[in-house]
Amino acid sequence: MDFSQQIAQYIVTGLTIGAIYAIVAMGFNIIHNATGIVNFAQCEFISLGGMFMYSLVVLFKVNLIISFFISTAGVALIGALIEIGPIRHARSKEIIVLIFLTIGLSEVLRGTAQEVWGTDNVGVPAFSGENPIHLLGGGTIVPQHIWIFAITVLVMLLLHYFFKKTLMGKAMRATAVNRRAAALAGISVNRMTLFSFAFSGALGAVAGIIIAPISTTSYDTGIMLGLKGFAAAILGGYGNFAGAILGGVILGLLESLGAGLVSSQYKDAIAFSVLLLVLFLKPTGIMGYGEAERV
Amino acid sequence: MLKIDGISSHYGGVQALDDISLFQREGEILALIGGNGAGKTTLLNLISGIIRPSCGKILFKGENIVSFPPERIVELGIIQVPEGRHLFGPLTVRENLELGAYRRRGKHNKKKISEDFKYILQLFPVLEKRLNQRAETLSGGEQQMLAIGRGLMGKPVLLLLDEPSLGLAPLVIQEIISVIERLRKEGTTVLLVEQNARAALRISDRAYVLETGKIWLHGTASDLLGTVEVKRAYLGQDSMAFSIR
Amino acid sequence: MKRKFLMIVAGALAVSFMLGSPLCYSAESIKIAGIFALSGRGAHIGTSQRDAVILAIDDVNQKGGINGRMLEMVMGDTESNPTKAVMALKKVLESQDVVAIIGPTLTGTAMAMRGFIEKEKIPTFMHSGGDVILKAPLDKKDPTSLPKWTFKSPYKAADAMGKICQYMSKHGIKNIGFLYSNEGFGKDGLKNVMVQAPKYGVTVVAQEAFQPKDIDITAQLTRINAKNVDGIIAWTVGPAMGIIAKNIKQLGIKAPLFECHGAGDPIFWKVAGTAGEGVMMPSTKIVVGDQLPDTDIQKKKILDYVKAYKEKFNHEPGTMVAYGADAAFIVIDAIKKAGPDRAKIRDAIENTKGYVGISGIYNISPQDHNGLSMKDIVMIKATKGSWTLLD
Repeated sequence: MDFSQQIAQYIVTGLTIGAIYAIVAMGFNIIHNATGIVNFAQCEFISLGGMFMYSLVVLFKVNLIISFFISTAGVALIGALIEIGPIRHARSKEIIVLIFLTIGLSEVLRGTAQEVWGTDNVGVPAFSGENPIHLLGGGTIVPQHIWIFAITVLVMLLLHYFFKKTLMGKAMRATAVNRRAAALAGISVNRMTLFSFAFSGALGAVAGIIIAPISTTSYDTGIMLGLKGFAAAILGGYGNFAGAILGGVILGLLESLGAGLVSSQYKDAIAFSVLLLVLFLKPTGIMGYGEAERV
Repeated sequence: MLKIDGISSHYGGVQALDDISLFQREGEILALIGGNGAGKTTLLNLISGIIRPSCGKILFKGENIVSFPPERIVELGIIQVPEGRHLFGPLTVRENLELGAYRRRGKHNKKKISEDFKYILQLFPVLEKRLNQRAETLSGGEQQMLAIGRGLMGKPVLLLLDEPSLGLAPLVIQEIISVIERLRKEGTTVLLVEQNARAALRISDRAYVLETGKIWLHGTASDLLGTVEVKRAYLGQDSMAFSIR
Repeated sequence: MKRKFLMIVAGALAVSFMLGSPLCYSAESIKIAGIFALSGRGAHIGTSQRDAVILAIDDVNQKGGINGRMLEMVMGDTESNPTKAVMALKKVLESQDVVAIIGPTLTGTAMAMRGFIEKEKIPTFMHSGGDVILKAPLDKKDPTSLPKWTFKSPYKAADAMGKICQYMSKHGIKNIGFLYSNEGFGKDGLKNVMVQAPKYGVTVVAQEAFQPKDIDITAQLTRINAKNVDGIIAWTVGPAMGIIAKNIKQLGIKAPLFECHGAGDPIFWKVAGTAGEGVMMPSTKIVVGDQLPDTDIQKKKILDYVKAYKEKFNHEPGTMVAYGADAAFIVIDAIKKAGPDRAKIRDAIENTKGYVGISGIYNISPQDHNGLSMKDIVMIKATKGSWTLLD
């Protein structure tokens, strides 16, 4: 394997992993924009997506596509319940209190998941086999990588369409910009917040589902992915749509190229040094510009 | 159409409104004038459901709407164009207008909404060139027109206008006044909150003068224009701070 | 909340275990403590080792106990956490007078418990893998202060590594890549391979680290592959075992993959799926009992034990079940010989010679508190959801 092929491999790997980070980052952004909080339960959405998929596909032998949608909808529902219950009825609406509340919720969800599924890592079958595919420019992937990439792009396009073209999407953006003005335009702020939690749940689930055949899944797989997605969101500019994609891809590439070209032992250190450097130079992240265009 | 009955409101322990009662007939332009801190905006926000009163009733077409959430009040057709404009800055002008029609969402209204959209652009031709521009890039006057346009997109039964002339050049104020007059001709009921008393009284049918949370005077606009106190306090024939701009 | 739930589960298990037993426990039962990782990251090992111990104790009790006295296990959960492990141990010791301790599961928890055990002078048979448990002095300033009361049942990690290198040299694998998880277990493996490989004429030409929770290890494997290696050793437990196998298939790397001595467990197939096919690893004989030659003196014991295990728990035992079983058997034997006296039990354990266990033949001595050797390790190959014994 010559050097250019190695580089190609690092880039392909970085892009697929980056795609996952980007979806997770989007989940963080949507809730942040709607409510101003950082939702730590996002990590659990990822784990639950993977575990629902495992239960349906492996334990109950449900069709893959149906399982995909049921799992996604299931986690979206859990996201919605979190909003309807604890978040909406929190005594204090202080951002910091709500953030701590999501940390607590995340513990509860993880603990419950552990009781239900145990602590073992379990596999989920790949969507369409595991035969390697050799790319033209060098580098090899498995079909699941294509699925990850395609589903991520599709999800991003759908989100773009939703937020830019539909009235509901515009209403969510409007709520993010100015809750009071949104209320005066007849937009139910509560309902938009509810949607944002359901959306984030669905996004987390999708991330957990598409990565599960590669990484296996367990009650706590979401923690690492969640943290990486959070870092990607910050890198791109917290709350920014394009920033999430950019941040995810950059983080994925940094990790992969860092491990491949510099040192595998310090790959996370390399990625996070770059993150710190970016934040030092531009505290709002690459695409962030204060309170301007969000979602 | 609108009847406010004994409304009081407290704001962080301070009484902002004290036992306010007023009424407005259908099709009439009612002006609410008063200085800074008189409680005008508070009253509008009470009507819109943004804040809740400590006591009192707000009747709209005979129904007490005091405990309604803001979106339900908008559903009824009570639409506020807030002070300071409160636009959706990063969204485009077109999107802002579309969101104005949020309460009329649904397929069967599509045609009517697009007609209203054209009508708004006819009212404010300057917006047409800026449709795909972010709202925050507009000038102050353009932003105010957009804010009113967004309010009108909701097809208001009762339009609450909060300080539409604030910070605007006289020429723009004139333009906005003519739009309000046009609305009256078309039968829209307007509750106009203004510091600019002369302009407000000139176009309204009746007016209430609010002073530190209480109704100080009320009557027909022409009566009030002739009242000595109003002249002295609000029309600039004295050294009071709020006068014609 | 989690703890409470687990305690209820543990309690329920203990109760059902007592009810399920044909004999009732007399008030004078002999008590031993069982400290396992019943939750947290080591739970899949801890629970199966707990089951292994339960099986051994059941067996003794069904045969009438020790001199008519029943054996009873008091259980504690380390939660895979060193601090909690010590707390769990203290709690058990406060409530019951135990004559010996079996466990814990993970090396980190073992190291945390070790000092306390030595001070309290309770014979303890651990089933944690790290050699450091026996090798590291208790007092940093005194290199001769090795543990007196602590034993461990798993063979030494260095021997497992030696076994792989021996196998490699026998099959002409000379230049290898070493891939390790960037934490205690993996780094310990790195030290071992640097010592063991040269002994067998094997050269480590590439070494790469990864994080235990990484979801993709292709970058490291690409680097290793660029060095044209004949074989790859991956030193990790957990999901990475499967990810590495999958990534190697993906990249089309032809060099055979060897994994560590913890991989021979049903969980390997769960994380690796079909990509696990052909991966080789050192293991105890328990997973290939039926493939052993009839001349193997362990064979009958292993087969009997596996049969009993499957009957009771309804699944195949993994490689690490053997450690739990042997720890229990040796402790029980010592109690039989010495009676319920801590110091005498310790001496009896230390004098265990030629004991035919599930993991191997134990020759414990004051110098060696483990007693296994490289001869007790076999190389196995992952084949169709199960294991094949290699020569």
